[in-house]
Amino acid sequence: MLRITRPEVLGDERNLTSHNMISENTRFYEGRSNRRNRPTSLLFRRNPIDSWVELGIAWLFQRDLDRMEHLSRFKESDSGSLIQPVPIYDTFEILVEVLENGSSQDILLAHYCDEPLVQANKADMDYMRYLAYLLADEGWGLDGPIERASLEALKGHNMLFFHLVRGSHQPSDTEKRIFKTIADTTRAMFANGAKTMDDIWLASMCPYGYSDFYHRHPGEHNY
Amino acid sequence: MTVFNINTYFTSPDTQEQILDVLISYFDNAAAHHPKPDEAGANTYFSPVTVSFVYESAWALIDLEPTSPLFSRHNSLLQNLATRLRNLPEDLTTSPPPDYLFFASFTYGYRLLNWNSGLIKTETGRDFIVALLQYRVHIPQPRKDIEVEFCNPGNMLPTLNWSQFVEKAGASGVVLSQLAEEPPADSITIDGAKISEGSSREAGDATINVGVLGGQPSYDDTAIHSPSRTGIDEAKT
Repeated sequence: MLRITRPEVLGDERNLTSHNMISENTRFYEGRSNRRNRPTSLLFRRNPIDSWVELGIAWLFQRDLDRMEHLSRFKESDSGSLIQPVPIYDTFEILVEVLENGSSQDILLAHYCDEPLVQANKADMDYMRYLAYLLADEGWGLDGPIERASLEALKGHNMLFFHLVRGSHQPSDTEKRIFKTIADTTRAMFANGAKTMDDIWLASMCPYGYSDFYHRHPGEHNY
Repeated sequence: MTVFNINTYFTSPDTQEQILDVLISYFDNAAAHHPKPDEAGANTYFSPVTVSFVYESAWALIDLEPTSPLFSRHNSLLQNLATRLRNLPEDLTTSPPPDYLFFASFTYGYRLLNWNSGLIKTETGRDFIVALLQYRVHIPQPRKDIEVEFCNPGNMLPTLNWSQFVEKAGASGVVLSQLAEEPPADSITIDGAKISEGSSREAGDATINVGVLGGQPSYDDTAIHSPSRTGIDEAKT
């Protein structure tokens, strides 16, 4: 069950209960071919308890596979066993649309959806890379070697850059959330001693720099 | 796609406190960090990202007000760095000097100085600059690979130049006289160093005269440390 509770934001409590086809507790490992055939298998299976919801989710799986095929740089890994994923493409598209053009309250809610979206496939390297490419296609993300990045680095990267997707108007509460993500990422990189850095972070700027805050002092652009 | 600016958030006390916390942790770790040459560009403390982190942190903290509780914490950081830069190993042949800390501190000090930050104009701030200048007297040739990483990081980051730093320090009133831009590899002693008020400088300027004598380098800091603080104090009054 995926439960999102933000009473201070909504004034009441709303729950999003995911379907058991994609809920964390009922997903298990599958092979590469199973993943590729999943949508078709679901669409054409004869299960009397299936409803339109199952058919709808099957199409969401298919949408991911179709999108992956059109991401030229995306290559599936060779991993033998994969956890059944949560389809993300349509959710991603909607969230990006809201983050860029939504009302203040919707934008704030969309920011709270970022984390569940990234965490939904937190153990799935293919989906983490897939999400990084989706972000890159939208113009957000580092121009780093996504293919060589570790799962942890990709999770941090995706979380950070999803928060950075934004339009010209943002409610102030989102800034706090964005900065928290930036600060957490920076702290993880620099506060705990030197560590081998994933190539994806080897761009010229540290996370603080992604927020474009250095134009504060007139005449001092780019340091 | 429009990028909105969260400058105001970066200058809020809460945010600055978070940044200062990370910076303090970073310098604590940097003090004991002696990266292997082959780590250049490959770890979180030894790449252009590090330089960017130091810059961005300086940028976020540059306008700290003296009335802010963070101001005194920041002063403690500068004081701590100055102490560490002066606390060199007795035998440099067996214990490496903190070159990494020096270049990280130099990068930080350079930015604050360049941006004319109030943080550098305090007694502690000026002493921090003095400590950086003194380090190059003690260690004329710090590790080149770290210098390249911090001073010529490439990409969009600017080049840092030691002689410009010395010049800027001088312009702000902190002068370590006879400090060559490329210090001689030997024959430097700071015994007998003294601080005097520069005759052509405004009140508050301090000049540290470093005697260049024959013989082996001497690392007797006592001759320069306490006069340096005292000298600045006296000059300010």
